[in-house]
Amino acid sequence: MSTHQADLGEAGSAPPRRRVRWGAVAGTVVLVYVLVLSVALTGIGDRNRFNRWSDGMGSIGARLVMCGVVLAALFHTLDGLRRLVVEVAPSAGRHDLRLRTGVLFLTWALAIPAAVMIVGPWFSETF
Amino acid sequence: MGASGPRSTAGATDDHRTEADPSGSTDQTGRDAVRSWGWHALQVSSWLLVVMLPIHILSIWVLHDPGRFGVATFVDRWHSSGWRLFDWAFLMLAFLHGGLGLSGLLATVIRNETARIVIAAVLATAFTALALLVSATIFSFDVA
Repeated sequence: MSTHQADLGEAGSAPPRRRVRWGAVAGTVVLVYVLVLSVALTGIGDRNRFNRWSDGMGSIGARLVMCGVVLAALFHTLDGLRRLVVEVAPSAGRHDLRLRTGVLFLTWALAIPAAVMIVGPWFSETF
Repeated sequence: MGASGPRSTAGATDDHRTEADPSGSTDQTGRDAVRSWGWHALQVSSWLLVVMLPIHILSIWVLHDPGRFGVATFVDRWHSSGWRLFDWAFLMLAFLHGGLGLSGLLATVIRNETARIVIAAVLATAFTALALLVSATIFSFDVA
């Protein structure tokens, strides 16, 4: 069975399952981050208001959201790099499974230390 | 934002539109045909953002405590015109890349041509307005 068939399901068996395009999901998360940061930056002229808004970034909730953004940014970057490499050197497409595994491994290998650095100060301050 | 550059000359149809190339510039056999300007812009911005996005995330959120994020972050940062230029270029490329990517994604979801054009026009207008506002803010911000 091809990957495509596996994603969509066999005719007459279980209903077809829609493939989640994680690259697009991650890209959307990063785009929302860029838009929020841009809207916030347009108000940086009013320093007190910007500081009041950014005070919330110290909370555990905001730090966890930033961990999600970092995870999405890393995945979108590495997955995009994989696509660019395959585009430039189509022969690399033969190692697609290895490349995808490498992308996932590197994403988590970089995201976990980054999450520790983002959330860590909150634990030091709180406990 | 709609990647409405030159279409394929090799028989591309709507069925060949993809997220990466909304113009669908591959022919019936899947070979490369004439690519749209949007596809080229997406590729160039990708190569630049592959380097710039990790630098942005690292320098603002990972190497510095997010709890100390505020006006002071940008006052320190924008004392150097290099960082000011970097932040501006990063945001502009992100708008371009995000706008083209979102437009391509919508093109694969929305089948109605008119709706697709209207949404692409609204996105282009909104992103351009925000990009102009951000540019004005970044270059007029007084770090003193």
